[in-house]
Amino acid sequence: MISLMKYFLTSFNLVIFVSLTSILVFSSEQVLPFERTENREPCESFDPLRQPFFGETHVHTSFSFDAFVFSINNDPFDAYAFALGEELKLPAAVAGEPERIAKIRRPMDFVAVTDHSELFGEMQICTRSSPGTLGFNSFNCLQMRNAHLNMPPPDPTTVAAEWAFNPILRNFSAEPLAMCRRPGVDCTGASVSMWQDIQNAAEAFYDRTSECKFTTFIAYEYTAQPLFDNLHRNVIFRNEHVIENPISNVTTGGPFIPLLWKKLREQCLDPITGVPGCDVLTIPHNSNLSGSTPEDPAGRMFPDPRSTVEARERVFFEPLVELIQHKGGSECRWDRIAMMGVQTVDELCTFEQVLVDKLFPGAPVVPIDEYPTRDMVRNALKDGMALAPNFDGINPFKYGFVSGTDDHNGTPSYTLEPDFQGHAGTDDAPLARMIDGIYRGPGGLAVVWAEENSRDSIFEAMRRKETYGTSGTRPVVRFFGGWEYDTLPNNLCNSNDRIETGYKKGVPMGSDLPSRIEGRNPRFLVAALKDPGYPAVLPGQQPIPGTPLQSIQIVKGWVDSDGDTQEQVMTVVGSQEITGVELNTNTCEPNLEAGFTALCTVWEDKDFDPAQPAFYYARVLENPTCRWNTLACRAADVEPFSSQEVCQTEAALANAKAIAGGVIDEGETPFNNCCLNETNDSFLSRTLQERAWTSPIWYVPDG
Amino acid sequence: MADIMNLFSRAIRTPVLHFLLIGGLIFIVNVEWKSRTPNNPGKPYNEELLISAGKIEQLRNDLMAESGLPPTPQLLQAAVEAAIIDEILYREALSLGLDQNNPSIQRRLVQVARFVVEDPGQDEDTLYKLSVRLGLNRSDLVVRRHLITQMRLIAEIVPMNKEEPIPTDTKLEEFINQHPEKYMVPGGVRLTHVYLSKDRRVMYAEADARRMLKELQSKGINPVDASKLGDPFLLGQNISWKSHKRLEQLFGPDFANSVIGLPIAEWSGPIQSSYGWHIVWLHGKQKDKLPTVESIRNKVLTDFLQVRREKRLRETLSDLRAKYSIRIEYPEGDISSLSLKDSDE
Repeated sequence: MISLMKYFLTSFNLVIFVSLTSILVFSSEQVLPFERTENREPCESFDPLRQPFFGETHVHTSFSFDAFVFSINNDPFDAYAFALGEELKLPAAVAGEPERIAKIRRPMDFVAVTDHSELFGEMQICTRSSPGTLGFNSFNCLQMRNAHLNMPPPDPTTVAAEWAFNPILRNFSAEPLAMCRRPGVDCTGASVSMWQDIQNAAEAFYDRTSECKFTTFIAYEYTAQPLFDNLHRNVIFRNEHVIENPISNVTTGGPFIPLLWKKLREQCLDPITGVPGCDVLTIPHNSNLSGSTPEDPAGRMFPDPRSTVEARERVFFEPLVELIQHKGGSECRWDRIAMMGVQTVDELCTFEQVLVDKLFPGAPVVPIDEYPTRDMVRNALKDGMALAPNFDGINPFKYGFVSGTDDHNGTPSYTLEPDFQGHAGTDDAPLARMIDGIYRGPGGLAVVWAEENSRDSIFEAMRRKETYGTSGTRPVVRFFGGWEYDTLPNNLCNSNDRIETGYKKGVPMGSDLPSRIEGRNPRFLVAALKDPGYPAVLPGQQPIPGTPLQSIQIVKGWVDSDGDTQEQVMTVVGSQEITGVELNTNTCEPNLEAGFTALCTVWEDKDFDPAQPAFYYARVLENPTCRWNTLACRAADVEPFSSQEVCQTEAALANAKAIAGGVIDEGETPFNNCCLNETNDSFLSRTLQERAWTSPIWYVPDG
Repeated sequence: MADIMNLFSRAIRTPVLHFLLIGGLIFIVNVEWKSRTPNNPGKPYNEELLISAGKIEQLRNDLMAESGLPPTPQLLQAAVEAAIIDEILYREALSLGLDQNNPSIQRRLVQVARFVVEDPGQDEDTLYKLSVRLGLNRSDLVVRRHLITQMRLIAEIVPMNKEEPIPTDTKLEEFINQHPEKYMVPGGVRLTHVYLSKDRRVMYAEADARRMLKELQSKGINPVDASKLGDPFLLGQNISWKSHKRLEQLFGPDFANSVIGLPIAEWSGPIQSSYGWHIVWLHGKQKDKLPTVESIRNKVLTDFLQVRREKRLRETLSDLRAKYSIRIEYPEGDISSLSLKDSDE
């Protein structure tokens, strides 16, 4: 089926089809709340009060060098099919065993495939061209293909590092691979070819009929990683009018983000030099791994802007940040052993924290008091308000939230803890290697509130930040701010038209509060509905019930009268108490009678000071469930809930078995990680509370 | 205008260019190809087509390289078939003279010649002649692939035996009916519901739901007035058109399955979901239906022509195949699991 579609698209039919649809005009008398920039049928399922759509904004396929090198064969077509419910194959965990199967339990509403653009040309020539193509037999290509077939030396990790060195890792410059310098080797043309196939895949799966079942976005990743500081962004286009060749870290000659924006403006947005109809935004991720420099000691992902223009461009191009994904969470950070946080005392900030602040294996562990403060987004949001007066009142860090996975298996949104099978093909397919990376996880989901499931509706939702991110499950969350919401005696939560009122008398998540009504404090309506749960879809699976909600918190950040940033976290509904009945840690079954199906409250900030800029965002917490490491350790016969003596003994056995099986080397002890827990590790837990974070609502003082 | 230019520049990069190039060749082909008869078969048919043991070994290695596992006998047989088809197309292309006066091929051979000859500075014409003399036009894989692709396009487009007209609406409608999996527009429902929350009412929720149903029915309350009753529900009281699958995703399978069978324009329930109990009023139901030809004309026409093209290609290829004498050197021990179709040729 998929290969038929591929054949269909590589024939001239696609051109005819696209040209016919771009000539035909679909007339619609509907006055839309968003601008329609493409030709398609209007959606049957349209709601002016908006609906929640669950999606992925960050996933890699075999088009990415660091997925293909780990034996991944799933390309963008396969990734989109997976999101709709098809089974995909993953490389066997151990040589000789059969391939693994992955299948999502509930289909996604939208997906953007984001492969690493820096190496498109090289990947096209080495892995997708016929043997006669110039460059096919270059050293770089031979290495990549051998690694893909699991035929070291050298091992795939080394090949990936070598491929990444010149295009991605250099501090002030970037170059393509050596093969591109050979006469006749056309890396640019090959890159355009791969980019064209990415567009073809997106078009093949984008549902332009009135059924509006699924939306795809044409996208790629800009992979700047100077000396291993992570400055990556996902570049997402609004519609099919895209630039000719992606602007990569190589195109910008190194990690110069303002240059990326400048070139995007020239080649996409500009009315004269750009592509008509083109629109684009960029979503940064993993500020937790962006390190710091002497110039930017607070953190490299959110540096003080060098000019007001830069502040303005950041605000335009980057309405959203990816708050959590496989390589850790970036909301906030608390070390429970040191009993210290990074500008916070929020103890729930141990969540999905990794030990390092740079993206490379073997990076040094960073003590909590040396951790760059702005590498945590909450602190960047606070600093942004403090910086605004220096930039004509422009807050450069006014980010809304989504989550993603950064999956390198071609399996977008595969985020449920019991289903986690690893992140990048053979790299962490064996259990021992997964557990070696115990601090990482499957990642989370992006959710947007949009009228219909179409590109324009969803893209505009992202622009206005009416989005939230989850840690992997699908609770439904609403957040509104205003000056007139009723608390007592008729609490807005009890009204069946509370959402309509939310919009009419205030603003949704992501916006600025409307002009203040004299004498009033801001009030926030927050409501959440639990995830309804998931069926079993593969043999041997159990259904996963939706976990009841525990509580909703509101996080407030503000700049006080001394110009210092402050924060406060308040539980506004539900209860923070974990009594022990919520989860059976032996069976990992949540108690469906504990907790809440839905929560709602209207909260008023009684400490509000109209002179002080502030933001507010909601954090919704589920009751605890088992984290993937608990299930994985049990699969290896190591019981994380046993005493330390028992656990260490079992871990030693598991390590020995893995060494004997050739999965790990002599001396490695990954299963010792199974004995880390809430009592002896700074961040790691055996259970987790899945959560959602809404985009903030900002208060900007007048004058 | 810019839109068309953008389209055009994208078109250049697709095989539509091949199509346009072939456009000029179709006249020649029409004449030359159709003049072939069983009594005047032409040169390529006379030489035996051999798939040697070495070639089969190479195909096996290629398949192993792709998947990392040794190929099954079925997979290997399919690869052998594909190699036979490729060779047939290649020979047909040569016999039609597609490699003569072909600027793409000339450019490629000049490029390759530059690498192999002693004096790469010579002019293009000389280099081309050199490349032919060196046999590069026969040995170069890119040239071969190019010729095969062109020949495949011709085989798809030029009917050997009969003309085929643009399909009528009746034919298209038939096609839609034959492929429901491709075109079915899923039905759905539009509903209003009154929600009784499990959280608020705990063990009384179901009883409250039954009471609510009685009240709605006995007082004849319409859906608009009912929207003030029951507990607030975050996805709203009025659910716009949703397919069965989407309802399942939002409410859970129990709710979705129950709702489908309900009558229209009356209160039904209580229906359970992951969230509690619901009393449901269906405003409308739409069955899964096949669309009219009018509404998806372009899509179904494209698909129809695609299928016809593939059929034409298959028929042409099997006609051609029958005219060649083909020998396959099966490796020992594999004969029983492979097709014996050609082992006697």
